[in-house]
Amino acid sequence: MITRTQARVAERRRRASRRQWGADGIVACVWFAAAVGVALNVAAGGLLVSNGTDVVREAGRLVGIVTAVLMMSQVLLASRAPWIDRVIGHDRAIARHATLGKYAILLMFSHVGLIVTATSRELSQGMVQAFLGLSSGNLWMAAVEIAAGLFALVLVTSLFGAFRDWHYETWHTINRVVYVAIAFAVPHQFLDGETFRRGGLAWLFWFTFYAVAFGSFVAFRMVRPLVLTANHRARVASVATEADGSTTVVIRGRGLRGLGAKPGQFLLWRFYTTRLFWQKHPYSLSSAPHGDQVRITVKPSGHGSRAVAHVRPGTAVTFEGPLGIFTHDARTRSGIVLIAAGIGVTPIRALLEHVVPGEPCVVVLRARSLDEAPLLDEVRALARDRSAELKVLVGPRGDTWGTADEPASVASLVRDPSDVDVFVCGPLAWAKQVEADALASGVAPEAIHRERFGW
Amino acid sequence: MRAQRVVIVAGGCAAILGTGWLVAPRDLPTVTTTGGGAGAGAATFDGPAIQNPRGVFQVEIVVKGGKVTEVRPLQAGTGDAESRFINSEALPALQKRILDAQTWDVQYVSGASFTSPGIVESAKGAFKKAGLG
Repeated sequence: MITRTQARVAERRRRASRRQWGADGIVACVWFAAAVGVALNVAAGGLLVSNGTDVVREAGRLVGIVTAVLMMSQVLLASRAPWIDRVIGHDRAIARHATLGKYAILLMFSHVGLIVTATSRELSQGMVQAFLGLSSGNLWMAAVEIAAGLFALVLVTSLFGAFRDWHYETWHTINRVVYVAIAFAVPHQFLDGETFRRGGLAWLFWFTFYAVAFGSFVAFRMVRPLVLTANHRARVASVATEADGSTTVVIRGRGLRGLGAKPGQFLLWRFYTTRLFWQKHPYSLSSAPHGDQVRITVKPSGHGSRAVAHVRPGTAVTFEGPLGIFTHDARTRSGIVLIAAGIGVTPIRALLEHVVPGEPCVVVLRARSLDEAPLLDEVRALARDRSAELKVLVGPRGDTWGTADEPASVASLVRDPSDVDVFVCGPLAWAKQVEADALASGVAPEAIHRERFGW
Repeated sequence: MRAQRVVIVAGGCAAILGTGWLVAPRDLPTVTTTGGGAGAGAATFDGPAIQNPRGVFQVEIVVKGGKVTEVRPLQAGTGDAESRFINSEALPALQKRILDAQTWDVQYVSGASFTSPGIVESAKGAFKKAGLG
């Protein structure tokens, strides 16, 4: 006989497998797109080279094609499109975006380098002269020179900025320059390349490709926030200071329940006060949404989070999201272990709210002291109500992710680590420690869910 | 990604690339770039060599009785596939346009964004040299 738990686990596994298919499908599509781009060049006779200069030029073109595919995947990953968030998770998408971005920029410079080398050989010119000459009589190639300049600027400022403690907003502005650079770089492929003169297939392929990437970006990063703002007219309903000093903000908006925000998800918030207007912050919901009300809890730590304490009720709020797959939907096993440190408790507290009473559930909170544990009373009450086991670890750091006096390991928390999902939210180094311990304890890799705060 | 799926994706990519290779042309069109003598009573005038990222472009014109009778490309860009495909269509088109209109100031061939200005610029010099404006 199949018990209800078994049926629930089977459904979870089916869902996880579907999501994996989706995630793999997106990766596969990127590879296929790159292959089609290269194949179209080959089909147009690209490989028929007659001398060394031709070889360099053709190599430059192929690198350019792969760069275009990679750059557009970058735009897609950062587009906050729901179909990406749902299968990869916004945080992971942004993490991948950051990693791939470096390769994309390196490839882009290789493309420019190879093409300029070929041109300088062809015309017996110096590299600088050959680069500047690219634009002779061609407006779109002039745009490319500007794009290359912008990319160089981004590269230099990023290397320079790595040594400085810059605001997130400063990074964000630099990041935006990349989008401008991409906008300058794209047209030359259509207007300079012969690819589009011969045969409609190449044109159709690249047009579709760009339309999907830019379309998602415009739709989900530009239009959707405006629609959300107009629809919900969200405002701060109340602001309260918690016992540990963090701030809980309740936001109410017309039809907010229709957002379908799930416990564990986060949104990007913008408060319309003079200090906070220019910033957008990712804050997790600190409780499951109730009706048209959602709630966040913010610890005063950064430039913006301190100012949140001074927000007045009635302040207008706009947001993007909800984002993330740090939710019950991501579960694959029957039991659940919720582990949080510090303000990382917010999504954990929300997740706990939707734990079915009686379901095997262990909650671990880690804090320096009891006074510094946010939402502790709420978690206690919820844990009692859901008959979840609660462990509060307070004290200085030790060798494990527990405290010096009380070492912690997932292996000692549950009877069968292979039958639980572990949700972790807290400072990066600590969360990675928990993740490593969970893996070593026998938790399946796909059952470990770590929230990496992304933008 | 599971190993099985990696193999499928790799295989798919290989198939796509293979298809591209199969339908690719096996050789390139030839672009003739030769000068020649002018017939009796005719004179040739070389335009300047114009450089742009797609190579060097130069034409000479043959003038007979105040009329341009031939436009010959002496150099027509790089030898790579893209240039040659473009030039095999663009050069005859530009030659015809110049001859028909009897002026270097003709409309560019669309898609030949380097060949057109190269040829037209050089033709302009040749026309000037021939005293045809």
